[in-house]
Amino acid sequence: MSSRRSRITEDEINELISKLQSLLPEARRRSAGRASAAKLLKETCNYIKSLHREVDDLSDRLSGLMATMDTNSAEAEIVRSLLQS
Amino acid sequence: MQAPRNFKNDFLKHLLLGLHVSRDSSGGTMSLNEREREIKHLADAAMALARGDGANWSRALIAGLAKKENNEAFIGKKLCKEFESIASPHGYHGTSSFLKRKMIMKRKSFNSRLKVKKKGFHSPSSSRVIPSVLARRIVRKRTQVLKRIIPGAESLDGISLLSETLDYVVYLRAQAKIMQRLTRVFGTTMSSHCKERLDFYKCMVANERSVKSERFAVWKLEMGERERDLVVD
Repeated sequence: MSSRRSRITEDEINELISKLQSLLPEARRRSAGRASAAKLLKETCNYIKSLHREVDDLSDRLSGLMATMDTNSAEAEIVRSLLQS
Repeated sequence: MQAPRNFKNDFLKHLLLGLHVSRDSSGGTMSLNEREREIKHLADAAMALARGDGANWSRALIAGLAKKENNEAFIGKKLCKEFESIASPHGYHGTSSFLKRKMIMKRKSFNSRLKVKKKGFHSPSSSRVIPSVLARRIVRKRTQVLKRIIPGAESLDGISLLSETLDYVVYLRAQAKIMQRLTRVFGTTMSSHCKERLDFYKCMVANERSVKSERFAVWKLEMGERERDLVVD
């Protein structure tokens, strides 16, 4: 009974790991092995942090753009007309 | 793996609405730094709201945002009904608020410096003797880091942590991609890339038309009100 349960869990784990690996941007994807757990975690952490930095940077740029957009009402005009149509 | 289309639309809607609302309410009195922080708030709030209560991290973010008094009135303007139903105090595991992110970044860089230092002290013989212990230690440390950078993941472990990580990465990528597109669209001047912007908005609206939802109607109404105020004839 317990071995059946652990087999299912192992399959789940492997699926999760392969899905996660496929998300990571690195080209150097090794096949699953004991050593790859730590590497996978490290790559994942780095990826998440780089995504956070990217969003921070985009927020920075958006804030600048929003500031200059205040007087531009043409954009608002377009969005409004689209929503009403 | 991609975030579903309805998430992308919801996220964009929430973000645009939030940007317009904040532009109205601030009235140009904010410093650029404050503005940037507010937009980050907005982006995370929009991402969490679009994800809804389908993931632990989104529930954690929403609950964390609810705690901030400044945000309550602000977010309350956006789709209140949805927000209140999700932001229950026991809706998620963990107690992190996304504000901790800055502290976490600082702590992480300190930890990584510590890690590099420690590496030098391991003599080759000890590494050879107990490699599994070392590997386990590294995995444990990195798991801790992961738990800190994913909102609300502190009490998760094992498979839940893994699947939560997967979920978070998928939606985080979508957030970054959409904000990139938005930045590009806003960055182009009206005259030179009018068509691109029109197409962008049309696409956004067209995707929503195929999905009947009360939320869209509410947002549409609010957007209409906002835009009417903004137009200067």
